[in-house]
Order: sequence, then C-alpha cells, then structure tokens
Amino acid sequence: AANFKDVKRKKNLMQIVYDGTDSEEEESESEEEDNGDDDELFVKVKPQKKVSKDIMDTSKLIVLNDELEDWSDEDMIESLRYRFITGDGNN
Amino acid sequence: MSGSNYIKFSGHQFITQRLVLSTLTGKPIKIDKIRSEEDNPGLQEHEAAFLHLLEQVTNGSSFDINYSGTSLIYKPGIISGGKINFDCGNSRAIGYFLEPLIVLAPFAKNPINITLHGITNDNLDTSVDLIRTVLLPQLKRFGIESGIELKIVKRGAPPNGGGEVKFNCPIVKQLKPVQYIDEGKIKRIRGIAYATRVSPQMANRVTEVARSQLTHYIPDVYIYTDVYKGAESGNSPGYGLSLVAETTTGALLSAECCFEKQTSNENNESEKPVIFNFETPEDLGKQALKYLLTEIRKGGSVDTLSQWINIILMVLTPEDVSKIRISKLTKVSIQLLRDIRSFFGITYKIKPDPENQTVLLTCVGSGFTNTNKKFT
Repeated sequence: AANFKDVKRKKNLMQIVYDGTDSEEEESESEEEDNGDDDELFVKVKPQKKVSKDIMDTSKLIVLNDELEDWSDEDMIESLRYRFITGDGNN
Repeated sequence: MSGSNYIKFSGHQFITQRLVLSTLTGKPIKIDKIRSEEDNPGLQEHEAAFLHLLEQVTNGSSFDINYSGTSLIYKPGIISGGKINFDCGNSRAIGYFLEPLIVLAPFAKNPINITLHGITNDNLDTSVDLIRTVLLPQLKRFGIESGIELKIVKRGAPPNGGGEVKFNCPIVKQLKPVQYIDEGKIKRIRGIAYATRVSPQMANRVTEVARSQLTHYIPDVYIYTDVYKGAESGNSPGYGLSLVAETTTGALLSAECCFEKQTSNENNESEKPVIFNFETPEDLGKQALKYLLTEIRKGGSVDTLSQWINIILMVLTPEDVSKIRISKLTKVSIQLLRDIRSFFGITYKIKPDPENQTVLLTCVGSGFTNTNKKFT
C-alpha cells in the first residue's frame, strides 16, 4: 500500500484500472519516443534489453531488496504487533 | 469465419491468463506482436509448452501459429480433463503451468488427474508448496470443498528440475459467491523448509532464523522440515522456505524464498533471470521472513500471491455479489481486471479503504456454469 496515498489524490482506483492503457502499449510508446528524432535511414540499434522481472509473466510479486522495509529495527518489529492475536488490539 | 470474431490482444505478456479466459468463455482470441521486435522473436519454450498442456486438457481446441511464432490464433474447445501426464520442462517452474490449470479444472468434463514434471520451487513462479498451502485452500470458499489434492512426489530444484507433483481436482456445476473482507488477526504461522540433494542441516538453519524472530510475535509457530533423498530428490541441489501466517478469520498471508544456483549463462538462451543469490541459509531465512512481515503489514483478507485466483473465481460465480479485501493491486491483477472486462463485460468496483490502507474489490458474478459436464 505504499503508493496508496498518491493514488487516492490523483484519480480513483477504478479510473486507473479501467481507463489506463495496457502495460504493453505503454512500453512500445516510450520506445517510439526514443527513436523519434532519428533519421529513418539509420535505425538506431537498440541495446540488448536486460530482462527485468517486470516483464516476466508471473503472479508472484517479486519485490527487490531495496523496496523492502528494514525489519531489523526494533520499532518496526513492534509496529506489527497489533496484527497478531497477542497484540493489545487498541490499534 | 471473419476475423472480427476474435478478441484481439498484442504482446507476449499475460498470455496464460488470456488463454485461460478464452478457454473458460469459449471466445476465440488472436494475439499478435509476440516479441516481434526482439532478437529472439515469437513464442518461447515455456509458452509453447503451455499451449501443449492446454491441448491435452481440452478437446477440439485449435491453435494457429504463424511461421515466426509472433502471432497466435486460439479457438478453444471444451475442457475435457481426465488423466494427464505432462513434462513442464525446465524453462519455467511447475507453478507457471499449474496455476492456470487450477481455475480450469473445476469446469472440466471429467475430473482432472494430472502428473506434472519439472521444477517444483524457484523465485519466479509460485512454488508447489504455496499452491498447496495457500491457493488451494481458498477454493473452499468458492464451494470446491473436497477431493482437491496436490501431492509433491519428488522435489525438483532449479536449474535441472526433476520434480513431480500430482494434482487432483473435482468438477463442479457452479461456484458459490464469496463475501470475505474480515482479515482477522494472526493466530499461527506455519512453514515448510525443504532440502534436496544438500545436507538436511540447510533446512534446519533456514528454519531456525525464521522461527526465532516469529516467536517474538506469537508462540504458535511451526516450520516443517521436508528433506528429500535418493529418487525423490530431483536433478539439482536446492533448499528453500515458505511461510504462511493464518488469521482468526482464515486469511492466509504468505511468502517464500529459495536457493538458486548461479549458472554460467554462456549461450544466454533463456530470459529467466536469477533473482537472488543467497550466501548462507540464514540469509535466505531472513529474506523469506522480511517478505512475510511486509505481507502482514500490507494486510488484506486475500494476500498478494492469491489476488489473481480470487479475482478470476469471483467473476465465475452465480449472479450475486462477491467481495474481497486486498492490499495493493499488482500489475498482473490490473491487467486481469481489464482482460476480464474484455471477455465477460464485467467491471469490478474497486474502492480504497482509508482506515487500514487496503482495497475492497466487489463484483457481480457472470452466472458461469460448467456446461461440459452433464449433471443429473
């Protein structure tokens, strides 16, 4: 829910899901922009695309290390206690 | 038939979900521009393998693929089911093939009884452990109560696999709508640490790290150590950990990590990336733990891994309201919602709940029934 607040401010979620373009199209658009200024005779050789997890078809969400919170922090560990039956439930 | 009868898509992404939706609805699809701009164009090994699987699971389907493999026309037949034996190969893990099957199987003509061979655990696809302990139990809410079973016969670690699982699924006439938004509080944590072709000590070390931190929150933590030897241990050494937190309302929040051998990718034929490189079993245990804690913080009655299966099953229910609570929509889920609109003409209500920063997903089922099976 990291982007949750930004999302709420801009548009409602339904618009983002249903009025947005397909991700595939977004990608091809940005590629065209890159080549837009070039002389058509000389096609710019695209650098070998490094495979990112974004374009792999998988339902498993792979979060890279730097996107994960630091769970070694004591406050961080305690902040999760309310989600357990052992927590006080006031949260 | 004219081309206008096809639902058209482009690109190699989301191919399996589109093939599944096409098979369920009986609507033919045409997918073009499949890696048409890339050095290695067309369908890749795992996608071709999935088409072969679909061919075996259905009856009367037709596949038209152009010479370069960049365009595919699929006319679905009926989901026939029955006894199938299928080699997934090692380009993608068994989860890539099994996940789509789970939503097709209940609507087959005959109950599916399939044996799948390949990689049982990796960091890209959902492992057979989490399919068994997280995805399959959720089918109960939709009315698929008994007879669903996934048995892990052999472990198969990457890169050479050699694992084997057996999946049995009963058939149903129709599903039940689901209203499930109470996420509850976590009452216990379960896990599976497996080791195959390595010292059992690896599984124990992974377990120890995770357990010591989790018991800080709750005493009821049990991680099962699953060690494979001899013929059941597949072709490559490996170990890994999957964790599931279960709440008072039955919500299952999951995370997993597994060891990946760094392969010298000299011919670079596969686009499968190596995601993690763990130095020690303790590192792996810590990483899986971080994932689980992140998932717990995000909340929801349906975890990130299970979003897609719940979204797709909701639209297959009778014409009644279904509602679930999720954390944040994944890219896959967003495209799934769009694709469901293309096939079923149904849009979901997507409403943020500011109270705990979750999202409520609501839809009215399509009134879907299993037309393949004659029920008396």
